[in-house]
Amino acid sequence: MRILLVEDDPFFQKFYAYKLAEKGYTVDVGHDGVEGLQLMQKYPPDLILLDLIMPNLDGFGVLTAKAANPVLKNIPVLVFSTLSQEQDIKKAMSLGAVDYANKSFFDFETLVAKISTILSKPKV
Amino acid sequence: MDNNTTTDFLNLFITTANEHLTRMQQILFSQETSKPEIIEELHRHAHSLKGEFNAMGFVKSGELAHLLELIFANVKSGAAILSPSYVGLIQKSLEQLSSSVQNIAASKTEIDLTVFTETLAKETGINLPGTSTV
Repeated sequence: MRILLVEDDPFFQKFYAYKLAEKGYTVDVGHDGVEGLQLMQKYPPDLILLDLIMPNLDGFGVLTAKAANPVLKNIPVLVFSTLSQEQDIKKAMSLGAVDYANKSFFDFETLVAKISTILSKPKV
Repeated sequence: MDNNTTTDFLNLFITTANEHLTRMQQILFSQETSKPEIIEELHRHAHSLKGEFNAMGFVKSGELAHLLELIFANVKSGAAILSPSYVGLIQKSLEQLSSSVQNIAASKTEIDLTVFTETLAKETGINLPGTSTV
């Protein structure tokens, strides 16, 4: 299974790329929203892990552009959240994200469980 | 997570946290803080720092980074102005966070910044969600 991680922070890029590869996923990393959109067209993923606050194009811009693209619109998106981003999460869900996960070392297994649940659903 | 992996990510955390703090200090000294894109960058660095501290379990430092994020969000929205006194408070905050990162590098424990964070919240009139300065 292929996961696209769209995240601008080098710490979280390396952490999640390493830990998800350890779980057997193929991971591509986009360093901002623009690169994320390019990568999802070049190497269509089974799931996108999306940060919201990023330079050049933020996560909301990615969700909006993805929804307007017939090839990309059905790829499930799980957004990353940090403390006090409740409004951002609501907005992301209204733009098509299917779920959200907390960015934390200690919540990694929860993230993996959510990824597994999403990927086990039949594709439309 | 095994000890080697934890140490690898702790080292990566220290490197990236220091990069965020250095860049924020550079920006504040550059006096370009009236530009919206510069405030946007400061907000992103504070947001990343908050996430990194909390992800590693250094929640007291994460609270101060969170307060800085809220301060920059207020400046972005026009609810606050980045006055020289505000810049001074932010520079002191960055020094506190740098000290905490140094402590983490030396002993894997953060400095308890609770008192500093509460004082900054009172001085700026911004409360972290779930807290009150009253």
